[in-house]
Amino acid sequence: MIKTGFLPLVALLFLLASCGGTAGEASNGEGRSWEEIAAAAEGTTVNFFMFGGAEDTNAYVDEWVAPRLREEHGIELVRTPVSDTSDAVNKLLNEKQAGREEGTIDLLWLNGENFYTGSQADLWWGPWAEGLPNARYIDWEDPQINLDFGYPVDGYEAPWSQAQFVMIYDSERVEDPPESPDELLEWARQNPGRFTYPAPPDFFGNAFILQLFYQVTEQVEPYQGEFDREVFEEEAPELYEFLNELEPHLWRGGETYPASGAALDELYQNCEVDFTVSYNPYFAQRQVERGIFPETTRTYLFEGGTLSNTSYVAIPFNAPNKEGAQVVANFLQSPEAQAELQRRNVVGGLTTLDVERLPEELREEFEIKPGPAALSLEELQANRLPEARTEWQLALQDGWASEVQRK
Amino acid sequence: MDKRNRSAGIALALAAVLVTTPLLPLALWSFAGEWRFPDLLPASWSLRGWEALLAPGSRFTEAVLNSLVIAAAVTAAAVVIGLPAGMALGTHDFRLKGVVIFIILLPILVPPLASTMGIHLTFIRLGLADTMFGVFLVHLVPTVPYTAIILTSVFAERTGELEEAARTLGAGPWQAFWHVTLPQVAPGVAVAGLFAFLISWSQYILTVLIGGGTVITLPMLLFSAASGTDPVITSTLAVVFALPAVVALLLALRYLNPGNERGFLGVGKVS
Repeated sequence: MIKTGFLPLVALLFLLASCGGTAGEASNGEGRSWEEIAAAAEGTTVNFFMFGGAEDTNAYVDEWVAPRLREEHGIELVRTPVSDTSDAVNKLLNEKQAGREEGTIDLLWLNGENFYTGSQADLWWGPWAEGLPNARYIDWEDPQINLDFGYPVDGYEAPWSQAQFVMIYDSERVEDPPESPDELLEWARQNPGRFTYPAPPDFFGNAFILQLFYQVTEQVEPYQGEFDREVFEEEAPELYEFLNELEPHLWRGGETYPASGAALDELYQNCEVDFTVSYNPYFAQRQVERGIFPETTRTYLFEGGTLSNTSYVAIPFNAPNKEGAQVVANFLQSPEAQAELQRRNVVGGLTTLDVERLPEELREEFEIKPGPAALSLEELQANRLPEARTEWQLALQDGWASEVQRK
Repeated sequence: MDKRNRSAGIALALAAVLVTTPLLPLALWSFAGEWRFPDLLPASWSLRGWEALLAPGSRFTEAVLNSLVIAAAVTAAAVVIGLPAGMALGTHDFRLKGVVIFIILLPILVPPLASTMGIHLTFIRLGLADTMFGVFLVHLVPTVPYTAIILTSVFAERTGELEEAARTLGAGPWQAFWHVTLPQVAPGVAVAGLFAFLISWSQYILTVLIGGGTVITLPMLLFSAASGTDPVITSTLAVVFALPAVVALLLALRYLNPGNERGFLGVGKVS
């Protein structure tokens, strides 16, 4: 027993020692061919820290990604679940402060505020993401890719998946779902109590009011840049006015709002309202297949496009295995891994690849006929709007609480 | 059975019901296939939750083992540290005793997050961050105050007459402690140890900060599952998480029984 346990341990120690030796050269990133990086990564372990609350995504990483990395690249992928990605960012902030040059996180799943916070503190190693072989399938010119909630990515994180805001309704009870603010107001007037939305600062509530903010003010561009109090004060009242007009026609007369997206889903599945919302465009299809949502459930988009964001993987400044992390990130972007991600509709639900760039024979993999409750990838991709910068979102949340909820 | 015994039995049974009833929905959820409002029981059953725990990559076994090893070590250390403190505070009166008690209690009065951020920086410099040993050390922060205070009250109830008698009969101080004091306070030590075990077992934020995700424990799996949307996985983990408390309750039912001569309440009474 001891004998068999001892040898791998020695081997591991040698391995760790040799990793430590190469880490210094690798941190320059430049000047090394992909073959060299891949060779250095072989036989190593990669610690992948990711939000652990999405069971389907966990299963995708454990059952589909990890075995293939082991077979094809000799990499042992260790998934470490965190209940909040900001826990990992805080750990890195402390390590930065304490001057710890060799950490424990090789790769981290993140986007938005966490990436922004880390960028401010120089927590990310790079740039590396645009140099991955599979980056050729990604449209780095697209602001959906090169801006993460308005903040420039600059190759410090590699896109993994896309999420998009969708509306879900029951086609048996709603014939022609409202696609604009005016139509929504009209529909709510005729069907009092059958519509509502989650109360911000719930994630889905935030998305809903931001989506309507875009539509009511009929612009998107200004909210991508730095926060401008003047512009905000000028534009936001239009949204409040609309939401206040809508309020009396909402579920329970707008006296109260569901506390979360999950609470709204529950109202929908119990037929108390006719609509719900999601950030995973295939959520409705999956709920129908599980027998949770009615069979007549359908997904649709608001006119002019809906919010969409990208989730990425980043390599921390003190990642002990930067070569391995790059090989894993490259694998996550490979057409086969992305096709499987899209089939399972995990991570954010959608592939991050520009399917047009794929060779003909691979493209078919992504042309999945969506179930009747979902939309096609083409339709979703053609109707995407970027998220606003975090400060705009925070201002809207505060404004909603004081101008809509309390009035 | 006399009256006292029966009422104590009823009280214990009531306690058992109160402790286990909230766990019942968790146990049901962990075997549920489909369970929707307003059904009283799951519409179908499945082992999905348990299969997910044992699936490769779930790190469930590793987490349970880590939790057990850390909690056991913390229990032993917290009792060893808390016992002399409790003995001194419980049996002697001295100046500034209140201040000493205040300092001992300080770690549970200060929010753990505030102090742990600082501890984390120090631990990184000392190379203790991201190690099991570091997690063990930081778990002593919230546990030692409890063992010290519990043991203080245990010793405060004692008069020291038996030790005096032993000393009169020729026992040395160490012998008196080992043969007289320790067996007498054993039930109190067990309660203090149980406290330390359960506190360590349920630590989340300290483990996350100091263990940095490298040291995986059961609460870390539970918390990350609970932040998601799958009630089956979360409940399955919660059932395993609650097991030690249930075992402790069963042990208490067995040994706290007043009719039992070896019971907690029976020992120490010279009647």
